[in-house]
Amino acid sequence: MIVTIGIWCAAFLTLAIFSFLYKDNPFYRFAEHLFTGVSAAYWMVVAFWNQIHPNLFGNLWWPDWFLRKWPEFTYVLVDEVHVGGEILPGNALVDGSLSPEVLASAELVNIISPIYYIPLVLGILFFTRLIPKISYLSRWPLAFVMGMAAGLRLYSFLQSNAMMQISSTVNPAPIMGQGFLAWLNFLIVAIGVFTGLIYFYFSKEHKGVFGQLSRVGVLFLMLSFGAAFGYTVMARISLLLGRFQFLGGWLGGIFGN
Amino acid sequence: MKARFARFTALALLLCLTAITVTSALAQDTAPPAPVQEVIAEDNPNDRGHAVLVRWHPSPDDGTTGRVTEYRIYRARCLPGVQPEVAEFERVSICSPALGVGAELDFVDVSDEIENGIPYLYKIETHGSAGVSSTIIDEPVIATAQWFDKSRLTMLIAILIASSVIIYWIQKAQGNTNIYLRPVAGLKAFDEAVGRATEMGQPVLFVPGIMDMDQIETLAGVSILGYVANMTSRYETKLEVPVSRSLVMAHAREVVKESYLSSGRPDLYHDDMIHYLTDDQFAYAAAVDGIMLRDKPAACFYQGKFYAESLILAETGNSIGAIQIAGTASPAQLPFFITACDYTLIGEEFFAASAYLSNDMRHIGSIRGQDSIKMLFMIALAIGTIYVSLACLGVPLPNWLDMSLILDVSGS
Repeated sequence: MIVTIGIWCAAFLTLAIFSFLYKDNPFYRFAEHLFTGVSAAYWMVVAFWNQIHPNLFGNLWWPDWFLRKWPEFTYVLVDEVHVGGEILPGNALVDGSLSPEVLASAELVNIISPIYYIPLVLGILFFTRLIPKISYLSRWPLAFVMGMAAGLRLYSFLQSNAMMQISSTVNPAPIMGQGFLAWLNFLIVAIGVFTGLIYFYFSKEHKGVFGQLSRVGVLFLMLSFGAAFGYTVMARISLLLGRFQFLGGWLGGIFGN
Repeated sequence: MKARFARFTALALLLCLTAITVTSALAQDTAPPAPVQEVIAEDNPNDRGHAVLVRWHPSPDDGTTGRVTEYRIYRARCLPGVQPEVAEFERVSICSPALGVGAELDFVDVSDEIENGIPYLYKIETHGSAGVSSTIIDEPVIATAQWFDKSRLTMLIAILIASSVIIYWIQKAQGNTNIYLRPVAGLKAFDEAVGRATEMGQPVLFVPGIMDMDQIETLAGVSILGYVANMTSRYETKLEVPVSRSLVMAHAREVVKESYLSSGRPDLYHDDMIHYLTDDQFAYAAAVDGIMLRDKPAACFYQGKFYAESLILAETGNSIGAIQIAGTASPAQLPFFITACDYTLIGEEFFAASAYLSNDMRHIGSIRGQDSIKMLFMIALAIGTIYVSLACLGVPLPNWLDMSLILDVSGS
């Protein structure tokens, strides 16, 4: 029964979203607001339980009474449960394998990593936005995130978008001894990369030979975009077919195939 | 008689030989395979420790006959006074036989159970259909952490060169207003788009992508938002910025507030201009579509990192008749933006946009520095192409021009 209700809800919401193709209407608005609200709450819960709870809270110090008070919440924070000479994982607190008496005498081990107090402090600083007098402190974690992102991406961008691009273009291994056509293919790719780089050269006027080469670069870019467009459209059509198949199954269920 | 004796002797010899061959073959099948050879266990280089590299030459019986079925690798903590033969070994991996291919096999034992600075022993068992033979490496191995990953030396040099060139041009650009930047059509249209929205009395919609602040495209998008916010504050045009990440919301609010302050209109700024919708990709797209249909913005900016929602957003913006300017470095989404938007900043144009728009000489100097690096890459590409072409076409090259040089660079 619950499954049937779920299928009807999913079919109704799918049709409500598709009704956008006609024009904005109350059904679309309902589905849109429901989708937005539910997904916002869902991702908040996922982020808390999958990221903050195990990765941050799991590496901080917690008093023993707290770990025992709410085992459903704290078992992720417990690294080891020592019972007699036996070492059990943290979920022994909730999996029912130990009786309450045994649990009461067990030693709960919570391994601490002091470095995690830094992200804890940075995270708390975000909330200073709520206090106007010290709201400027919320810029510190932002600066950390941006600086970290810039530094971290510098290496990967330079390697994947520049070094590897050039070295893969002139890599002779796939064409050595493969004949004239393989060499011609290599040459076309090399010209495409070269002229594409010229198009993205900003500090020189694109006139004369430089301008002509830049136009060739644009041509290569448009060719690659066209190929990517066709490829991605095919993938999107398969997504649409997936929804149609779902609706077809739903209608088949109503009308008995 | 003699001939008969000779035939008999030959037959007897043949029988003996056959018997010897069959016996030795049977003995070989029942004997365990020969152990592996030249086994070496050493600290795995260029890592944080907690890893040991084990290398060995396959067993002489490892071939196409199938006498060796697998190699099992064992690890034991080396305790003082305990002989390796009686150490408590724990199996860490099973490797397939070489089957006659490859002169050396290796395995990297990576595990947090391996403590840095503690000696470990390794043993390799050669398993076959007829039994097992084992080889213990008597010499204990110690895993250590290295400060530097030497395999990334090439990248370190490249980063130092790139950074030096950019810093040089930033320094040179300060006080020098003669650095030329070619016009980019999409950037010129920014003023036109905001101006049109002002004339029509409709809001401006700015979408900074769907990713977080750890993406360079989001950083670039929010930077462009500062410029757009500056214009909307001067023209007193309503600005709407729906975001899909809380950090982006916090940062975008700072940037927009700063722009409204710098243009002398802090009274027009309010936090609700930048509002969070949801982290979910398609829920976000649905919500932004709804905003477009209800608020009818006259100008839509899509500047940041986008995925499959790009076409959904751009098509909806197109359907309401808004002037649309997109900018992203996501190659898979660029075709959709080019198709559905009026102007699109492609890849590097998008990253250069903030420098163009700010007109700050330091930023422009940075663009000039990046161009110099591009020139270096173009020269390298041209030399590499000529060199490889000559080699492919069979033109004799001097010995010092070793092809492995290019292959090495490709590998790193």
